[in-house]
Amino acid sequence: MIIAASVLYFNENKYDEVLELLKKYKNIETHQQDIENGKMVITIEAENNKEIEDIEQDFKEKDFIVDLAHFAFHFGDEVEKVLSGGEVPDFDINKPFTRKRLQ
Amino acid sequence: MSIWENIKNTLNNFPLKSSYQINRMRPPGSCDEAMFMKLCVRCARCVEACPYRVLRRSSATKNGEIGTPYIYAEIAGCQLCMKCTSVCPTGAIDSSTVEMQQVAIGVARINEDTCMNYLYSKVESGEIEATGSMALCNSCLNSCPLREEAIYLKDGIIPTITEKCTGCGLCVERCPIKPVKAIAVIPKGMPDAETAGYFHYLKRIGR
Amino acid sequence: MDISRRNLIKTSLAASAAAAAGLTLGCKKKEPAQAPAVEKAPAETTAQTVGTQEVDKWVKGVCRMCGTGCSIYVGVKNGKMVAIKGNVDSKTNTRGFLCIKGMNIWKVAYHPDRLTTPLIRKNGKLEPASWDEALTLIETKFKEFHKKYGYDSVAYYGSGQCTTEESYTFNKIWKGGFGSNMMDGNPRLCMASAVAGYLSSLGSDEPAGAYEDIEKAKCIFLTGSNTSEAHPILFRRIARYKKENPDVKIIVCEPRKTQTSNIADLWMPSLPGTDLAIFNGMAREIIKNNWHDKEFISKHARFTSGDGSKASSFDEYIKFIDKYTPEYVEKVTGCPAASVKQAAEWFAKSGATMSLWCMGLNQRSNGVWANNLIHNLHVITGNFGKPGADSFSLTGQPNACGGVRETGSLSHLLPGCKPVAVEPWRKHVESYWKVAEHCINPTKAINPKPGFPAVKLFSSLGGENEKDKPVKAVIISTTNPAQSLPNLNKFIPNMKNAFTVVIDIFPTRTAQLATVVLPAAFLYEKGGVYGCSERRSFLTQKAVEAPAGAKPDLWIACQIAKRMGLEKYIAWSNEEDIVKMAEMAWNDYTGCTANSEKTLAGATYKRLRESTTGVQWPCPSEDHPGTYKRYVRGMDPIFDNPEKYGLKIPADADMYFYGRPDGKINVFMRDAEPKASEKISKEYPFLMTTGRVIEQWHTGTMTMRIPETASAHPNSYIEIHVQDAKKLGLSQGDMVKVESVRGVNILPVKIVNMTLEGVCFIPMHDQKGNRMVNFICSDVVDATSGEPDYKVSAVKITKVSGPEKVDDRYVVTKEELDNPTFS
Repeated sequence: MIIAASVLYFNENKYDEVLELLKKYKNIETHQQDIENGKMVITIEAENNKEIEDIEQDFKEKDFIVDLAHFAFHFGDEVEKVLSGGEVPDFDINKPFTRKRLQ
Repeated sequence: MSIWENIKNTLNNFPLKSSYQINRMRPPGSCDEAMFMKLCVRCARCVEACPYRVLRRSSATKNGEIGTPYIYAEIAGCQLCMKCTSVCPTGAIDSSTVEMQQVAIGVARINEDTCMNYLYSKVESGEIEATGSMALCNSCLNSCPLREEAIYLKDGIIPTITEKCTGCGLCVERCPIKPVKAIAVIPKGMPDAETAGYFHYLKRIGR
Repeated sequence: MDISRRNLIKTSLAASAAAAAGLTLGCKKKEPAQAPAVEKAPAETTAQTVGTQEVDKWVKGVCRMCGTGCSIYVGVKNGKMVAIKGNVDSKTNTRGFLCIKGMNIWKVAYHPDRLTTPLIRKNGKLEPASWDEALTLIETKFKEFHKKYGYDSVAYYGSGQCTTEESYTFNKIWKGGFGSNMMDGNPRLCMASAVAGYLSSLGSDEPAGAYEDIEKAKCIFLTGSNTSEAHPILFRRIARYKKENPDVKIIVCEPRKTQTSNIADLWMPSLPGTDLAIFNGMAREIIKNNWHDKEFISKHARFTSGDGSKASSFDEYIKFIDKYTPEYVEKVTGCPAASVKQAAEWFAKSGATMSLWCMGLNQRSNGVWANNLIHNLHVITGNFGKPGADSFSLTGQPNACGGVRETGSLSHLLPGCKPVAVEPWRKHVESYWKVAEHCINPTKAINPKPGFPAVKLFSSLGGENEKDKPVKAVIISTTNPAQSLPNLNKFIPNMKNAFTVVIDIFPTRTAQLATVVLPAAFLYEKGGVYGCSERRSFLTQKAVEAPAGAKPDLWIACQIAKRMGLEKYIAWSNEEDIVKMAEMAWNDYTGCTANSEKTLAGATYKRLRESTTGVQWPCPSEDHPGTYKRYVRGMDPIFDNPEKYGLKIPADADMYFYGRPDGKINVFMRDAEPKASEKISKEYPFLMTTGRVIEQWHTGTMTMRIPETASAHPNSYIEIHVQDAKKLGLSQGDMVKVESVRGVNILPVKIVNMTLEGVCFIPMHDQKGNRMVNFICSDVVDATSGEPDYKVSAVKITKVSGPEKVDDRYVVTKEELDNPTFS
């Protein structure tokens, strides 16, 4: 499971539509917002990063969304799995930052 | 300047620039604000260590100070017990601070227009006409942990703050003047009328 | 991963995201760890705006707090008090200055804790009752006890905060109506030694001079008083005078270097309990250097040894004080020998010296002697009767002088402050009161034997099954002995077991032990006369109505009188209007004392109502302006017609101390050794002394309920010298156990360098059980005055824990009335 904390940049005149959009997603929580400057902090809870990327894709299609920027991730129980020795993440920094690597 | 350097500078300065607010101080023994913001990891150990529950985590997000510890003097001043200094893991609070005399987290300033003792002495000297609304009060002096050192009564009446003031904020907590207290602590590093001079003036007129 | 943890992660992640994004956001969701917004300032304001605040009317009155007697106006709007301002014409608080307590005192009247229904304890619980029910119970019990255990089994314990009319009425009911002297008051805990001091030295109670002398003095000797905190307005008068006249010498003799010492030219430290040696030492220096006033001594001094009955001579006196060399004094008291010499010089040579003292001398096992020694210094230097020269005792309560000392509401006094044992005066009072006609006691007379002083009264108080405790019932008015008596562990069970009636406006420690609690009216809801330290009587006019259910003490006294069959005796008991009632009581009182030197016959209600300054006794007639200085021909009206007061004054005497049979002041040879006081030992190595702070007053019943003063001084603490703290390994804020043989307190430490090493100080206002300092205090009393020795107790100090947040601003609430927790 992944929790992402992201800042959603939107058109400040279309705040209501943003709220409508966010209502569709049960796994998104809003935290803080600065409507005047069109910024909002949200957290997205997802099973894997694919889900997050899908949401991001959906968002970017809307014209009132300027950008969705992820600032922090939390990997939940995955970390414990790694620590207990079940999985070994790939730490090779030369590889590009890809979807595969996150999975 | 290369792009790399540019980014480095940006990162170094971000989000470490903090804002100041009157009557809001860092824990005793904190290093200066920019360094504090760099070092503080928001672990809240100091908040937990504070026996008086005086330290509180900031919820203000301006310049990224969210989660960092503050003393809000209007709610409660710091008793200078130094329990928080030793628990800081990063050195944002200097653990060698053990004596209250070492502390300098701010400096108190008295509003001469509202402080009752100031008004009282003005009536005595005939500056203001006596109306019977003058009351004597020594609360700031009595609450000061460094009574007679950090604050003394000039001529036995005018509370005067010396450079030994630690900025603990107890006087602000205890000041009976309402709605705005007659004494305020200017946190260390905050430019105020007395220290910032011309720049303060610019700030005030909105440049 | 459970929900709360997940939420936490989300919140902190969101926070860091917000931080990184540099959002300047208001928060939409409340976070668990956020700082609460700074309290919204309430609409009310303090001090400055009061003067201009619009009110319907300003009603004249006097401050409810300390004995300075500040004159005030109460602002009333829509039938409610809204402000207080100082009286600019006042002679006490010149230019209308007030202190923080006085300025806010009206606020307590509207505190939600106000008691408004009588409460009766049934099965251990205080339950609401009607006034009739409560008074009937009191009546039945009193009658029962009178019959079963005699008239001395029912006691009254009054207060220096009751109005003069109230104290006088209770005094009249008890001494004349019941024929019992079993009535005392809390001035026993503060002023009794000063009374005995004045009576034994000068022969008549209360100071000769007035506050005016401060501005005429050339040297001011402050001892046993932290004037800056206990009498701030008076202190400011002194400080202002000193500032304008830097040549005036100010000497402070105190164990603590308080604010008071800051204006002093000389601070004489003395270990608690030892300052008598300093006074004797100063007297020795004065005589040795030939600074004494030989003419004054030959005219006005009578040297005496022992209790005052035996006359002695000046030479004997010189021999007696020869022991007190400055070096010896230094050894005993810790005061440098040079300071003693210097103080003696200033005291004797200034031209006009005024001494001011308060509880530091009175609350001592040798309090009367300490008072005597101060008078001695004034006699040998001739500092009496001149402008600016006086020995002046300050009072701690607003009406201890006027209400209790002058009306004689103590177990050994009668109106006019004359002992019950003095037969001519007793006979006068008996006939004035028509005791033989009205007294319900078969003796039909005032008992010539004094009753029990406070400490003895409360140790003799007990339940019906306790054979060794003769007092079975007590009415306690406007005071809080369950917090203010020393060694409380001894007295709390007594108050609990006996039939205790408490008259108060708030739940107090005493109300928690009471059988019946009667809700009282606040001063400005009833009005009455208060007399301050300088013999000045001042009328407080009724400003507002009391809340429904609360009744003035005077009304309560009258109801009791009526029910006990004294309806005709207390003539004002049938009056409906409280103001008229008080006026009748006042007239009765001034009539009773018209032929004594404390005459207030000229201070009629009408005059007091019109006066903005009050009246100083002696004031024999309405056209007399009041007396600034006693004992001096031309100023004191007693000299005009001494026969009227039963006195003989030689026609050629310009100054005559008419209280004494020979007109001369007694100069006593008092040993300085505090024999009865507690001594430090190996186990209890610290001397503890108690006192007040400026923001809080006495047991904090009122000041702890004023938001401004409560937050300014929210809890009690112990002040320890920095060296002692080092020895004990204590740091600021550590919690310590302070223990004497009698009791224990747990207090936070405040490390100071203004006290002497080995001396610690605890203020007395905190109501929290384990911070009530009187559990520790010694209950040794002065043998003459019966005043307890609050100022000297031996304690040990041990660390309990590191700094802790203490439960501050604690007050006893209505809910806690049934199960008092004293820990």
